[in-house]
Amino acid sequence: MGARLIMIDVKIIALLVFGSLFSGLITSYLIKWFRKLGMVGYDVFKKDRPPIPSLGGVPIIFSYIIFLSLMFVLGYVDVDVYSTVVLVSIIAAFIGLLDDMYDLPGFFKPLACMLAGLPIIFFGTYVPRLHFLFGVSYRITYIYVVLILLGVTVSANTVNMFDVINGSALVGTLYSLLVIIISSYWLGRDLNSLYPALLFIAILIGFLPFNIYPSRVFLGNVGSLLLGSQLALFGILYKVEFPTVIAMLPFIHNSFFFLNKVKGFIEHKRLGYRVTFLDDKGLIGDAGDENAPITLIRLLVAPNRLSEKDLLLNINILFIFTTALSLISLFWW
Amino acid sequence: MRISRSLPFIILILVVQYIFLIFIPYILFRLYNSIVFLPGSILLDQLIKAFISFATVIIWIYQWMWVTNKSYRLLRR
Repeated sequence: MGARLIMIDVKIIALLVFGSLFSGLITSYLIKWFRKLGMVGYDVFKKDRPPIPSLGGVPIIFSYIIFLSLMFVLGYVDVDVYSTVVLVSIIAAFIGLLDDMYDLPGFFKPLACMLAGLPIIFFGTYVPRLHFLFGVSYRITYIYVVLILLGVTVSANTVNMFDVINGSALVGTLYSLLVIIISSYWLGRDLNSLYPALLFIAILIGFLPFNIYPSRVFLGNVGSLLLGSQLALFGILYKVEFPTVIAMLPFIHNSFFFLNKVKGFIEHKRLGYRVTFLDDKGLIGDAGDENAPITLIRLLVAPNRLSEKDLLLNINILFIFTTALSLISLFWW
Repeated sequence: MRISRSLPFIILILVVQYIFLIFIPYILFRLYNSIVFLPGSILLDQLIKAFISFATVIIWIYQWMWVTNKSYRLLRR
């Protein structure tokens, strides 16, 4: 445990760099396609509500699978991990794509996303032991299998519900992935085993300029479910469930109130009432509806209205804080 | 650049949850290792421990929501 000399093969660095560049290139190309096909969402936090291409998860998964396959062919990823990662990604993204295209009922996504946890169980790429701080651990052989299915669907839908303003879900995911990488390495996982997660970060970095405020492409359900499922997957794969949960506290905080008020994983657009509103100056404020859930965004704008850009900055601060908390915890492992 | 006045409240709420997340598993771990609720039946003993864990998680979640609700009311004044 602790600091070790980091040696990365130059081929891996090349794969990460080219993966990132490819992700950016394919995104810029596909944006035009999505617009032509009418696959757009409306940016409700801009005064003119511009249509924005919305299947951003498609270039992400496309780039990810190509470069992960290259890693596998070059022998950097073993067959069980490769199969698990590819299948979890494809299942989660496909479920999201179905919802993007056909607007399926609210219960569909949470139930269907449990299927994305099955490859982890099938390929046995997990250890049924939960580790906490101060040397506490629980061996929970059968319960862990249930937790895998729940963890993947909860994580995927939690990130999905947080995809409210430009870049919020992507930024939170990147911070959480950073925690996964650092905590995994700190706790003694072999650096070679972390390549799938490092690649995913690289792919997301290539996509980031298109999704960050002001967005030129939205993640869509295809993207947000993919991102969330990967967080659960890597947390399980690298046995860093606890640090991952700490890093994801802002996501979890947001979801609780949806679950409490709405009794389900429902996106903002499906709610029958307004959580927030946009005023004449382009600032986001609390709609003040007693029936609406107290989401993280609503809590942030409750005392004072904020611009979307400032809201994203506040979300960044929250994630930096939980990232730091998570990493500090490693000293008490 | 504007910081929300809610930010310190939210950070405090998350710190409280973090402390719960650290100490609840530790306390339960010590409890389960030191007490056998039903010496005559391992299965029932495990079931009681599972129930305690479940009840603890429910209480923790409701505490989180209660604190956030109260904070929201305070911030809206």
